[in-house]
Amino acid sequence: MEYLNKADLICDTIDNGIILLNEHLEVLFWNKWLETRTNITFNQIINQKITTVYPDINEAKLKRKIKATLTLNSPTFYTTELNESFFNIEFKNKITHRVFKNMQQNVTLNPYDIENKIVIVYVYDSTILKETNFKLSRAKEKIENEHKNTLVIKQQLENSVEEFELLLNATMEAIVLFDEEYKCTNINDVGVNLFNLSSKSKALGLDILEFFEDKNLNYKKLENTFEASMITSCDNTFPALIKIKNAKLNKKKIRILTVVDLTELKYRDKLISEQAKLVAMGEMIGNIAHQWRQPLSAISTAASGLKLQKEFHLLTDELLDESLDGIVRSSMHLSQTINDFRDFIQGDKEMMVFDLEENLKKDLSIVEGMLKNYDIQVFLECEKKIELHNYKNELTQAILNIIDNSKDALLEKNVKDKYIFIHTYEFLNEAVIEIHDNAKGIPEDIVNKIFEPYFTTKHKSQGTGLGLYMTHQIIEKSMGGAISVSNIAFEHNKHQFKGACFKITLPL
Amino acid sequence: MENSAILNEDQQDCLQELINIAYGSGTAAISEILDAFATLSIPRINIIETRYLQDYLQSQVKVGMPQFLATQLINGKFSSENLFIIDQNSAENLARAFGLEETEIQDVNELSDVILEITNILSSSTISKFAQEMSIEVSFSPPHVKLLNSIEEMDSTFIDKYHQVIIISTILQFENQNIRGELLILTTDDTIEFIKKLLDKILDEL
Repeated sequence: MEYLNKADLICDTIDNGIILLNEHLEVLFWNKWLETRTNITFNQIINQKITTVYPDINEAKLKRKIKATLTLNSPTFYTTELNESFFNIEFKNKITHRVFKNMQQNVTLNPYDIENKIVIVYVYDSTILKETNFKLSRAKEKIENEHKNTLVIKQQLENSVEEFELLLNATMEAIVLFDEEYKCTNINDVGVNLFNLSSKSKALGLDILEFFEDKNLNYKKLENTFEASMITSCDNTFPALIKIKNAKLNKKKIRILTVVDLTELKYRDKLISEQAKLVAMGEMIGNIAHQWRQPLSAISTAASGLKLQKEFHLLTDELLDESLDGIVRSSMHLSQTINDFRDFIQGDKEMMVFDLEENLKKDLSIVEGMLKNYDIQVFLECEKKIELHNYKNELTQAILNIIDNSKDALLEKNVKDKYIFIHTYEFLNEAVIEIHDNAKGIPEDIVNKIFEPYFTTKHKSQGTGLGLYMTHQIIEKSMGGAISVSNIAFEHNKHQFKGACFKITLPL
Repeated sequence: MENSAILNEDQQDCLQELINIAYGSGTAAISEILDAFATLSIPRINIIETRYLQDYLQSQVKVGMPQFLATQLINGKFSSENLFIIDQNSAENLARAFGLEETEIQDVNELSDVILEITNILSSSTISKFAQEMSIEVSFSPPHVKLLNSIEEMDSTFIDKYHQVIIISTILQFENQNIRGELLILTTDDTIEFIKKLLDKILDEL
């Protein structure tokens, strides 16, 4: 009796549910723990089929488990991992941290009385464990999602790095990146080739000056584009157009060095300039022919006159002197023409001070014969004496090119009265030379192209497309001035004209 | 995989005999409970070093198919771990043998529950009989099941604590049904020593 009481005490105080079930699933025992949790008393449930009270219980499964337990004389289990609960016990008191509506259970079926086919069922409340698992799996899910996002971001970053590298390598320029201390951090493929590096890694860490021939170059002060001589890893040098830009990348200061190799460009420039020179020489020979015709004919006339006068015994000392003087004058003129021609061909080695008006007059004298031949009148108006310190003969070439261009335009447009006006004046401490004609102007659609090399509207046999390009190069690159062109309308001798106006400004 | 280093020839023969009896009773129990004729192949006994365990398991499972891995601890002097490995197809067929509806079969939890039951039945029937033969007490912990995409997902953090494992493996097959699962009983150093003594005692009594 005492032992039975002890068993009752244990059954009623243990923190588990205890049920006795027979093979027909009828309840033979129901402890206090179950009474308090289910609100069903032992007396209410005794001899009742448990599936009648709890229809959610899978009868076939329970019967199978009971059979296994009794056959094997060994426990069988319901685990909370798979079966939310053996039967439905709703929590009415759990308010905080509540994840499940019902109690989660682990259940063990043990053989109790094999002969009478009775099993003892232990019900364990595993809600807290399952809640913890639930929270863990939720945290895991969150971490996995974050990880997934991180991977996506990583992928995006990798893609943008790839894109960046792609862009870096898609350019024609060499691009070298430096850190704040001007140490190389990246270089594109063009750069690797241009600087003759065996690999990208050879450039990393190099100081910016390692790329320049002039090791004392004050690059920090050079913000805009400038030209410099660069040096490769094999100590070869090449001319380049340089830009150093300061930027911020990932909150760090970086310097971007852009290098455009000018070797080919310079070579092409030289070639164009040589071609232009040849063209100019050809034109000059034409001009000389015009220039020489008159003095040569004067010499020839004087000589044959002398010969005739001598034959008829009419030659006096006076006449002889006069004729010889004329021959000398004409010869000197020829000689001067040759000097001018030579000066022009040789080009200028040094800048010199010269008078603008004199220079222009000399220029006009070179083309005087040609202008007369085509019946073109030139008007030179110099407002004041202007002295320039620049390349004299280069200016001559530029002016002759413009005059030649006007001549061609006047002839092409078949203008009746052909005029070229040259007007010089000082404006804002600069010398201005305006040359305009009455050849009706340049069509608007090509006005922006006329300074481009090999651009010509003339027939192939006439134009090379280099004249105005060279003029532009001379004025802007060599003489430090500027040249522009526009179409103007003007009045001359009470007549209205239209024409192109070239405006050259040169530093004083 | 040298067995002789641990067990001598007599010990091995004796163990094989005991296991044969135990597994024979397991077959009978399954057939009785499930009303289906199941067979367990003659068990093979292997003793391998623990570091090769994963490779061994890998070689036993079908590649490229998710595997259910059910584990159940056996407590007492014959402390060991029962592993039941079954691929998804066999598990589904097993569930059909258990009389589950097709909709239930698609539910991984239902499928897992069936695997737990069969694991429990297999462990209980085989180990209980084995224990009985050896006159020792055993008890069972609730089994657990996991769906693994590969055996590599199995956590074996403490496996290094043991030197050797005895692997008793058998294949469960149901007549006319495509169900194939592998039952492994893994035991470690202390149990191996215990088994050796027990086997010697049985051999002495013969």
